[in-house]
Amino acid sequence: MFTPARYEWILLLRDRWITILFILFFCVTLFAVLNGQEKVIERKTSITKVKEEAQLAELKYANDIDSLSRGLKTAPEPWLDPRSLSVYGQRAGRVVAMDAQPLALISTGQSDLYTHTVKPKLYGEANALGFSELSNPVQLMFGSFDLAFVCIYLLPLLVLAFSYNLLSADKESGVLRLTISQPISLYKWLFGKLVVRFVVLAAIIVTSIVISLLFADAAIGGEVGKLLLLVLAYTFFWFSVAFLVNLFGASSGTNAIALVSVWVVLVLLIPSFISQSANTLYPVPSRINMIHEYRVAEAESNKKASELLDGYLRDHPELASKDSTSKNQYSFWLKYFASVEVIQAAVEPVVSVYDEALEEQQQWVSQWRVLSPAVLLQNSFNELAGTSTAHYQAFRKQVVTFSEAWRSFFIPRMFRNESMKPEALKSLPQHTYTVTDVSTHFITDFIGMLVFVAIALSGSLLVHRRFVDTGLTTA
Amino acid sequence: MLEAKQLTKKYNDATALNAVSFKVNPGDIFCLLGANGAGKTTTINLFLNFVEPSSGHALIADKDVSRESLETKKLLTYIPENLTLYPNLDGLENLDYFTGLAGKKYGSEELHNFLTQAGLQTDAHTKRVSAYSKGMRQKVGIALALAKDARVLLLDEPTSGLDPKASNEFSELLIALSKKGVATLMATHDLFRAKETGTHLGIMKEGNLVEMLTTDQINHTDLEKLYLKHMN
Repeated sequence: MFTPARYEWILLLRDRWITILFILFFCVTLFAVLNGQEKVIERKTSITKVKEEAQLAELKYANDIDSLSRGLKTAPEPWLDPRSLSVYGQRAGRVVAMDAQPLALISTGQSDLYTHTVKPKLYGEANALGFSELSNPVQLMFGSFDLAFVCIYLLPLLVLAFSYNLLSADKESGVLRLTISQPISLYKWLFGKLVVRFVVLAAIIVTSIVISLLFADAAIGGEVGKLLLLVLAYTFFWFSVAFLVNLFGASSGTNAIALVSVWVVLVLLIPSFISQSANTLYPVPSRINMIHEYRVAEAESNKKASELLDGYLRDHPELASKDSTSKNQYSFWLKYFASVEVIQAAVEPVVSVYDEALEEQQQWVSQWRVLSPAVLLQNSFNELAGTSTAHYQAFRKQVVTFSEAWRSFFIPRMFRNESMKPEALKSLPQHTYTVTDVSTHFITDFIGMLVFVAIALSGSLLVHRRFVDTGLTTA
Repeated sequence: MLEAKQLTKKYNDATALNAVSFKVNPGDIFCLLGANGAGKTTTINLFLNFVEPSSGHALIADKDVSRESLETKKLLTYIPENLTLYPNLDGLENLDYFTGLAGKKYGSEELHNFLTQAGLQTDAHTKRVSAYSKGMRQKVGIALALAKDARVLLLDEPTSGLDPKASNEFSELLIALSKKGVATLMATHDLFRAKETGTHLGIMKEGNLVEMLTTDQINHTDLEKLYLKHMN
């Protein structure tokens, strides 16, 4: 091993820094991963419970339909009879669940804002209202003590604690005078120290994360490789910043203040600025306003249900029965379905404004995330975890699509005044959550991170040129 | 081997060194005397390229140190007033580290030999430097000069704070090195040590080299008188 690098390693070991750092980072990482795992388990348990309940209900209804069809059971009251499409469609709804992705435990992301299970029913408030979060999700992007929090917030502080006095410590002890009297480029010598420290910390990071993920039974695969690449690039960026600041030749105290200031700007202020500006430029409508609009439209439509039904049948002649609707067992519901379109049309502008604002907010965040490596890393963490806003938007669309499929199964049959038959159960719509329609930005985020590293290192080259005149060596 | 040509260093309006010229040949020990702020340390810093001259040249082996800094540093060893080493490394490791920085690679036995030649007791070689006295650290500096095969020694008040015995030992080491052809430039306040150890003397005042003479031209008493005359 190159002599200075070997001694840098020996000095680190003798300082007990490595041991303390390893224990500290490993404990924090493990705690964060287990914390994330607990949330994922909670989420999975909740999904399983809802699915089991739905399956039990479905099984019970299937048995009841079978028994009632064969006359083995006395028919219950009409509003409880599962052969009624309105009863089945409402009470035996399928669960649309957003299953946790393999690395969901690394980043809470938006998962504590949105529900992961929706049970589309035949009637009731629009599904979009049921699970949409109408506050700015970016605002709540950071916060949980998960691996993302450890890597984005705490890791830079560890890097800074590990490197803020990379040069100043030698300057203050006096040993730097002997060092720079040797025929070696100070820039290369210092960069060598930086690389040794980075390699040491990288080994600690990789070991801690991999062991913690294994401990939490997370799948170790290509996604973890991406995660580690991003975290290491982020770590190297902070080392580069420390390198740059050290080259100014100031005291350790000044270096520490400067580096913490950079941390505050890049990790706290810029994300906050992006969040606030997204909220200001593209405000989402009030949730209360949206529900109010819905209720007003609902009340209006109820008053003129019969008129609405006539209009609805004019628009959907394929649904009009040859029989009079008065003989239809679902006559009440048919009027309701007619009103739903009116209600949806009434709330559509508000929902659209919300959707557009959210979309624009996301575009804004996506566009300006390049201002901070912390935002780049958070974005990639959320995408790898499947907890990004884009994932929840995609899930929401899947819910709406499935909800429409569910109603489309029942409504035409209800207009035809049919009943639920055992053979129809097999053709009920099914839903499986997919993430294929969510675009990810791993490569752009990784390149963005490397650009930040390049900027810091370019700055260090410029600073190095004025090194002799800083009075560093004569102080 | 070592030459100052009209060497000048100004900090804004203040002149730290004013057109100083002298030459130190192989085997010479040139002692710079003068009060604090006279320009002794600035002269040494200029030969180390720690600061750049405002005008003039500092040459080592006919090479301008501000232009060929790394080349000239290969030829020199610098021992400051308070030689600081890495306290968590032992003497042997510190020597290995700094010779490694100088591009030299020695085995453990050779490094032990350098430390022994520099007068450091064998049992101290593998002790952490945090337990070393100043004299012991200075000896590691001399060992570094031996290991680098330095042709130039730059010493900035190396005996300041040493007890007479350690100071005498250090002087003997310098004389031994000068006999091997090492050119030494030493800044010191110690007139007695300068007269005993040096071959040439230079008295500096307010950035100017006001007197230059050889040590065999003057005795201790006259040197003191001459020095005080310039200081008044």
